[in-house]
Amino acid sequence: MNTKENTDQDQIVSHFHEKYGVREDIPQDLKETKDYRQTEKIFSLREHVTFLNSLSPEDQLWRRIGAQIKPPVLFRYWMRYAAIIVLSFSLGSVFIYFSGVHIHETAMASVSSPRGQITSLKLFDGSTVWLNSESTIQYSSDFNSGNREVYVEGEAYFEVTHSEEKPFIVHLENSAIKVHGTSFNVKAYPGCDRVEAVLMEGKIEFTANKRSVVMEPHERVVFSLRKGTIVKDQIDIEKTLAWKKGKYYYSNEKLSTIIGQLQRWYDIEFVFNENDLSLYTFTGVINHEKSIEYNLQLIELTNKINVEFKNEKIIITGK
Amino acid sequence: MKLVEKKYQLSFREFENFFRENFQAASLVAFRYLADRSLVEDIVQESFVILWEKQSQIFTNKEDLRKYLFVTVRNRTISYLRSIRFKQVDIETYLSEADLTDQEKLYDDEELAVRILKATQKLPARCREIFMLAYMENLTYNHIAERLSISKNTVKTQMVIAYRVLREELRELYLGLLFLFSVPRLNSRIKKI
Repeated sequence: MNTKENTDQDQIVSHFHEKYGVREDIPQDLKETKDYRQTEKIFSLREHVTFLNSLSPEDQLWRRIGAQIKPPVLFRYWMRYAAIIVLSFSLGSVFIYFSGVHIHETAMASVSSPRGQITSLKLFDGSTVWLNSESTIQYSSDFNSGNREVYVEGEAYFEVTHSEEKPFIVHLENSAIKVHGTSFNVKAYPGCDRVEAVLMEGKIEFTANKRSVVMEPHERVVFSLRKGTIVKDQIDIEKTLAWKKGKYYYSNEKLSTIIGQLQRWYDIEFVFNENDLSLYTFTGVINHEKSIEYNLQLIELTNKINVEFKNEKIIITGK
Repeated sequence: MKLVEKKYQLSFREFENFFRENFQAASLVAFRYLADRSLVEDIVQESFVILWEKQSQIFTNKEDLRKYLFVTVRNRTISYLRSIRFKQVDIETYLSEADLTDQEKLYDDEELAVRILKATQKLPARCREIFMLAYMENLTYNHIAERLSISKNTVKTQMVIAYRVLREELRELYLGLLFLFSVPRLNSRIKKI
């Protein structure tokens, strides 16, 4: 960048910011440049931009709207069959199967998010749950009247309605979380060897192996099922919740974990040709909006593996 | 309008994306008449809810939906102002401006402002901090230098960089609106309340 250009641009920018556009202090030839007109335009919109910058966070605004409009299709089906569900509670042993909604004979209601889908639902106490693909939430027929306890397999994000007298309890594999009113994310996929909880707002108590850990916002707790250890650290909550928007951030994550997520999102089976390939690590973003080919190409580029589509399966081999 | 055209209906998730793409421009449409942030947020919120309920009956494409969103926001803002007995005369002035036939042109400033805010997120942290103090808080270069304990020259340099980045970002992102940059607009904006 040459000096003349910098001086000119400084003159233009200073003209607006230092002199507030008093016309006389700038040479006519500079005024006729594109840089001048563009700077003038940007400067003229500062009231607009300042106003935009003052708006509440996007997610917060969307939550307010999302809460008022009709929930997603899966949930609407669920509402339509609510009557049948109530009936089956009283009969006690009826088994109903519809759109991922199961009712077991133990009078537990269960909602699952199938492969390739993200589902959200509202519980009777007003709490909202987002279920990632292949995740299930169960709760008993007396939810909210007798208790606020749910059972989760897979990954879920909760926004819990506040209630002092009735704590909300989330049961996970060999562990549980007790809350009053807050929002947090849990991840406990079967066969995964670990349970993860991330707190966004409020305060929660994570319990496993008869030990309790109180969590503050932006903290994550990882409970290792095999070792029995509970580790707490700080984490970027935006990245944790990215799955709600169809994105996953990984940093040095094992290929097997990532493939597990791809399998859940795209409903396709993967085969590792050599076992130790699954231990390779990957850092990056997986985006559900993009094709599976696109996401795999990214992994292929960084990890020296080959990917091949065969008989509706994806075969992964070393290079 | 063709009657047989397929209706355009967004899923819950698509509607969320539609919200994320358009709520800022919609807020600015209300901001033309109303400077109160929380009132504007309420009006925009109501408008999106109305739009969700009506979308299956009316629209054939996303552009329609966008236009209807802006018109809804505008109308609701005006009826709010009427409800608090705002001076009728001014409202009619707003209305006549809003009834301009060239709908596209009508929202250019709003769109551009949204892009500018997005583009500021691409600035390096220190550069953004300096730019925001000048641009949003109207601080002079001397004030900024003092507040951040840096030289006035650093402020100048960073401001030049900031504007250069913004102009480039807007050029890249908005080729379609380039005419905006090359021809000064004739009609001045109507004064806000």
